[in-house]
Amino acid sequence: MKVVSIGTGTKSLNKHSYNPLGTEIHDSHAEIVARRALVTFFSNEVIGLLTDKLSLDKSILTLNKKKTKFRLKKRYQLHFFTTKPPCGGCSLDLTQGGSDFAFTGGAKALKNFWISNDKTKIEERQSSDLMTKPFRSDTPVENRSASLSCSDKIMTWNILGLQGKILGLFLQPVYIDSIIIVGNPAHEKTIKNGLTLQGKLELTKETAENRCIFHKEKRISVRHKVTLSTASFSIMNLKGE
Amino acid sequence: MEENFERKLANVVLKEYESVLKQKFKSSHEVFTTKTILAAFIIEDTSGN
Repeated sequence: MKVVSIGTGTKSLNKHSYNPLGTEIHDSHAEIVARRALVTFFSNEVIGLLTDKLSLDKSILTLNKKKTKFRLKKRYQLHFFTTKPPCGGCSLDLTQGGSDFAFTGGAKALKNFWISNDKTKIEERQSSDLMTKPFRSDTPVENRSASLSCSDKIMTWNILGLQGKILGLFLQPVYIDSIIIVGNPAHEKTIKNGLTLQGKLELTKETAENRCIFHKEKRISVRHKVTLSTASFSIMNLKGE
Repeated sequence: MEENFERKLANVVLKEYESVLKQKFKSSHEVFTTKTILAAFIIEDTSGN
């Protein structure tokens, strides 16, 4: 096993701080930073192959059947590890006495982004809601992060792949084969709900399940209860740099 | 068997993280705490090579 990218971080820019040139990283949560490093890792592989600095034998990539794009060799599996359940749907606690799909927590439904809530009110969300990064209900709208929650972003990676649009011109979609989350096993159901579509997109359930990796549920695991709080720094690293 | 896989994977990640910290900060003690939220992608060669 080889760790190809690592990320740490808990912060994201608020809407007020966005740069019109797009030169700032909006979302520095650990999961997102790690994925950015992974894209760089795959980009370096593709560039190496295209410039003949790397041979197909030594690369983790190979050509697809039509020889139009690269793809991850079948013998390789991609695992995602995180020391805390991703923010959003995975980190929300089940409401006492409520249904399985009603949550409380810091993440807010995207549809309520512009609403200034009284902080004493508990906002109820459905699992079908896309959510933003967590913020306090009394945070002014201009200071809220407009980035989607990590749970929702991971959900989209499971449908579209991790490679992104630009690298996708050269590389077939790359999917996560298993997710290992350090956390309380009691939250396993919440985590699985948070990472699956649950009607979040206008796709049929059948389409979603066919393209989503979570039919391999036996590989999703939640182990070792650990108490974690936030740290104020972010690190991004990828193998070899 | 699954649990062994998870533990092995966690150990690989933490070991790598420690080496990254030593490389970037010269010491792993300054920022290596349980407060850190860490995420990583790992590639496994299932052919055994």
